[in-house]
Amino acid sequence: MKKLISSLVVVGAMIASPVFASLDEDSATVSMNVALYATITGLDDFVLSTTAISGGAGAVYSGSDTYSLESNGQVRVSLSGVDLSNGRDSVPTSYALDGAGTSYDTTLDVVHNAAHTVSAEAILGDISAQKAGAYSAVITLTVAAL
Amino acid sequence: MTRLKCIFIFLLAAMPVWATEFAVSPMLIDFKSRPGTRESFEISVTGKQSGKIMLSTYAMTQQESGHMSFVESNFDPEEHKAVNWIHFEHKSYELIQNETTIIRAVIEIPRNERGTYLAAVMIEEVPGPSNSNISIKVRYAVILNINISHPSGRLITAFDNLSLVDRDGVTFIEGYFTNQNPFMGMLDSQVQIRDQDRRLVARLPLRTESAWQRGDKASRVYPGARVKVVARLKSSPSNGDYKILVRNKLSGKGLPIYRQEIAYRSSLRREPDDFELFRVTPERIIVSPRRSGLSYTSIAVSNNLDQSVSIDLPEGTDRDAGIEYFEFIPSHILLKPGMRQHVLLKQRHLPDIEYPGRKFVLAATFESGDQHALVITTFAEKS
Repeated sequence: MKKLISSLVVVGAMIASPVFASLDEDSATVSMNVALYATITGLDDFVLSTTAISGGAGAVYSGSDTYSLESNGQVRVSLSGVDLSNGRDSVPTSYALDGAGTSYDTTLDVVHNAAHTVSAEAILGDISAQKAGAYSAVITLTVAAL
Repeated sequence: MTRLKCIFIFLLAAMPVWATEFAVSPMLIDFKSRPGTRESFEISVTGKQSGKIMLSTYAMTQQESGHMSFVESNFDPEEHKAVNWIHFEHKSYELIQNETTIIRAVIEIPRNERGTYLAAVMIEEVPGPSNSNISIKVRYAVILNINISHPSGRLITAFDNLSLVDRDGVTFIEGYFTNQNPFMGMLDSQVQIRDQDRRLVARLPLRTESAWQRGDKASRVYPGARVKVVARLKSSPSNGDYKILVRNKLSGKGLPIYRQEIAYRSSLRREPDDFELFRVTPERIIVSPRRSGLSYTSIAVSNNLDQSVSIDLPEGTDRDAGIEYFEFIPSHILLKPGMRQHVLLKQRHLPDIEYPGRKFVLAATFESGDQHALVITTFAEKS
């Protein structure tokens, strides 16, 4: 009987010890907040050229460049641009990101690292609708979280 | 060489010029603040190349699609007052390759302001000199979402202009939601479409285009914004009247249920066309009066629609056309989709008047209730 009691005491102590030990423990939650980060690389100015007769009526000039967008969350890339101009003369110009539209959103809750394309197309009017010369325009790509 | 010159005589751009490359973090900063406080924040800009950047503040407005747009000037100074609360240590910085520059700025929130305000710090490269080229400028918008504590009160919103519209071969249901509260809310909107017998036609979530594109389950609606929420129907409903019910919740709080009846007439279904929807054979119906003064002409009518159509065929007289009496046998036909049926045109012709041909108008009533006049033209044998 004594043996049984002493065995129960030993077992009880073994069970109880972690309970008392836990009173001395402390816990801490480690947290980290990673900010939204984005970068565009590899984008440079590009040339519009035509396979038609340069300066001819209705000649289509086109060009594009590829860039890389890397982000650790969802971002929106939008493009704005104006018609190519040379002094008072201008040529109707259309722009596109990835061949369609002027904006796109990367996927929700997913990192992003992919190549994209920005392209432009200008179409001449009649031969006398615009003077010959160098035409220029500025394209602005905006990267935003919303 | 001459050809080469010719190709480039209308050169639209010159030699490529690399843009200053840099990375920005964070791109969205949420402030939970109180009136009359000063909040400081930092933005890290890492130069992948050396170059110069400049900072500017932009107002932000929410478009009907739910997308945000940036406004540099000509914005409402009252609505976009937060732009004036932002102050930078410097307005431009020189970036060094592979080094991170810290931009320090503060927001001074006036004492009497409450609600949600948005503004953006635009960080853009200062482009170098360029000649006759298409310059590409990359800019990063660091959005400041400033939430100033406000007392909770009754929500003020509006929902209107609910409609069923056909666009690009698809039927959409869409309506407009206006957030007249001083804070941004997440709009959870559900629409139920029932027919006149109260049978459920569709139950769909309504979201802004932006929310659909981003994969958000609710639509962000900023103070004062009026956004279009839309859902795409799996198939175009039949023409008819529908009872529409919209349940809206803004940031979890239920709003009054919106109900409206809409009479829908699909523009996706082809307009009734005698030759496409009803095929009448023969295409050229020749009438040959007999010596007895009677003529019998067999005409086949096919229904190429996806719904049944009931056709009443006329009878009467037309002395100008030399017809003492005409009738179709039978006088009424019901054509199911794809069905074809023969009718007989019986005419009693007046003597001494040459038959000039005639148009007969048949009254067709579609299963949907729409009506259409089907015209059958007959010709004289000699014409």
